[in-house]
Amino acid sequence: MNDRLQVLVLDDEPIVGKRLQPALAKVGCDVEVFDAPRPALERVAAKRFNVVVTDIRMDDVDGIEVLEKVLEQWPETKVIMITGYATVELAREAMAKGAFDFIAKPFKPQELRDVIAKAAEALGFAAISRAVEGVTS
Amino acid sequence: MPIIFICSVPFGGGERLARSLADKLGYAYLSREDVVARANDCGIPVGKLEVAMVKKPAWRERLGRLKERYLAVATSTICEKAAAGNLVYYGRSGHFLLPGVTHVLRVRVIPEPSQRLDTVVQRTKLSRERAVGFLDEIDADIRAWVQFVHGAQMDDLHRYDFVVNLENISIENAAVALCGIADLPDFRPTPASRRAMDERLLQARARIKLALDERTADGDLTVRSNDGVVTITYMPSQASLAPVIPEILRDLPGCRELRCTVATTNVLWIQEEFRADAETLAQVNELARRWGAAVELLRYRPDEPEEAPCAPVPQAPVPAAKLAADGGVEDDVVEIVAASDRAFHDTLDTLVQAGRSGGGHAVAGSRERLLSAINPAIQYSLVLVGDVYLKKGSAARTRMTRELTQFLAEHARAPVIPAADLGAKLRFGPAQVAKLATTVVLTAALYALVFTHQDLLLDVLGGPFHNLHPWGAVLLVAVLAPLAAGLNAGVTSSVLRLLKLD
Repeated sequence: MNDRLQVLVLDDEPIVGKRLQPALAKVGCDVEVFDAPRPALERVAAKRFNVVVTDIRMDDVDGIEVLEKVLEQWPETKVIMITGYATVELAREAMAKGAFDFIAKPFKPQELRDVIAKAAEALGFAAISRAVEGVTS
Repeated sequence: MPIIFICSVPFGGGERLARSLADKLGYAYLSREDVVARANDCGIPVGKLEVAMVKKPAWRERLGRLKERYLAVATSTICEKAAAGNLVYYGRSGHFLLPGVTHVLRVRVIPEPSQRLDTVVQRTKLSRERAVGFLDEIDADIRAWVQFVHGAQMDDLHRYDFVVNLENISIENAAVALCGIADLPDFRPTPASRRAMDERLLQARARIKLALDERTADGDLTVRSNDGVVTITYMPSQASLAPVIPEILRDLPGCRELRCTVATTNVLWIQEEFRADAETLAQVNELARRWGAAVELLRYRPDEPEEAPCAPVPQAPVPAAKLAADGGVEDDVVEIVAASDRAFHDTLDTLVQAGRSGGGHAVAGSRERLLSAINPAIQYSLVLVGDVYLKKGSAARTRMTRELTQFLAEHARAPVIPAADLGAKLRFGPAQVAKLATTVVLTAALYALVFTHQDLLLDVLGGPFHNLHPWGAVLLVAVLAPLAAGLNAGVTSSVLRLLKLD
């Protein structure tokens, strides 16, 4: 098994991917960044990612739809939802549809790294969990 | 005409009822979504509060101040919209925002379960089985929200004027019925009610301005308004905010006069490690509630060198413009924070949520250093000394804590007690019940004795016995008077403690 966690980050604000890419790369993640849902879904169709981090409110295709499509094709992929417009209803709907976790914006990259470490642990990527712990210790 | 609050759980038909009612009455319509959008525009990330109801929030999230800011925005949004004309508001618990305003009609909507389930299945495409679980979860989350944000029970029907059960009436007919109810004189605005709403708006506007200015964002400020006079109370330890406040509130609409005062009832709680779930915190909170006091935390680490850094202060809110610029991803600064510092901040946040925070700071080193950290300009109502010298053995810890308490009592110009004694002073348990019962029985017995032996007593005080033995009267008064006074005092203090008025 590849030791590096394959992560896809999707947010229609390019700055999000720009900020998250180095933050996740430093704990051993291979990160691909997208700022539009359709190319991201095309990439998901071609490659199995271990973790998908997706915004919810996007034009064209929303994050819940991305979640459904990713899990339809790769049921083991952990999908983490991020949004600046979180509500109880949205968080519960995402969880009911199989999201691994839900993070409200604004957040610190460390918060996402902590969630990714949990996802990595569930997927058997012990090295990532150790790397995340190493950053904070 | 009243402001009509339609309160419902999501997917429960409340929104449709509110819209239909607004259309029929020709009123303006406002929903919780509008309030949340405005809060987000102000840089108040309401989503953090929402997600905190679903999962345990990360320790970094200080929800107490976030909640205050959200409430201020919600209050001002509703009041501003209602001031422009009649209003129907749809949300979870908006009716809690305007206490004292009487021209409100508070309606609770009970959904029709199968229709609600159909709506959820249709909108979310969840299976019916999953949708049932989904609804149970969001109902629990929303109850938790109302409890957290308003400190009240959503299902407490005393908080509503009418309950519409959609199992028994259609939305359209409910709207027609509510149109008639809204017209009743009971819900019409009175001058006093309008004034109360103006005060709420003024107070909320002041709170928002102070919360959004980075100079005062982390201040523990209490905002009140009465007849256009806005009073801001700040903690003695935050006296530097006093000159800034008038500057921030200079152009506050509706403010006739601005007063800044320092809080006068303060409790200082000194302890080495704080825990938000500790019993002592609940006791301190209870004491602060009874006294209307603010609680200042002073974390004292006697075994560390004096240069040890203070615990970091809570963070100011992130301006909305910055949020937009970074896409909601904050700077990648790794915070290495000890578990004890987290617990300290969690304790502080608990006090902020209770509206009792007097700020917090830390000091390390000798007890003289501790004394120098206690601001002599602040007249504390009480100083509590909690668990300190945690690295010492039990006997040494007890002795050293006692010595520290005595040292502070001699130098701190305030009553100083061990925090461990607080529980005993506040509690009304079996021992207090026994004490109350005993003192009541003894008092009754004493009075019964006096009234059934009046002749004898009068004889001792001024009769033939007194002529023979004049010292008897002195002895009788010397015994009976303090005994009666002591028993009366015992009964009174127990009753006051029972009524939480001590």
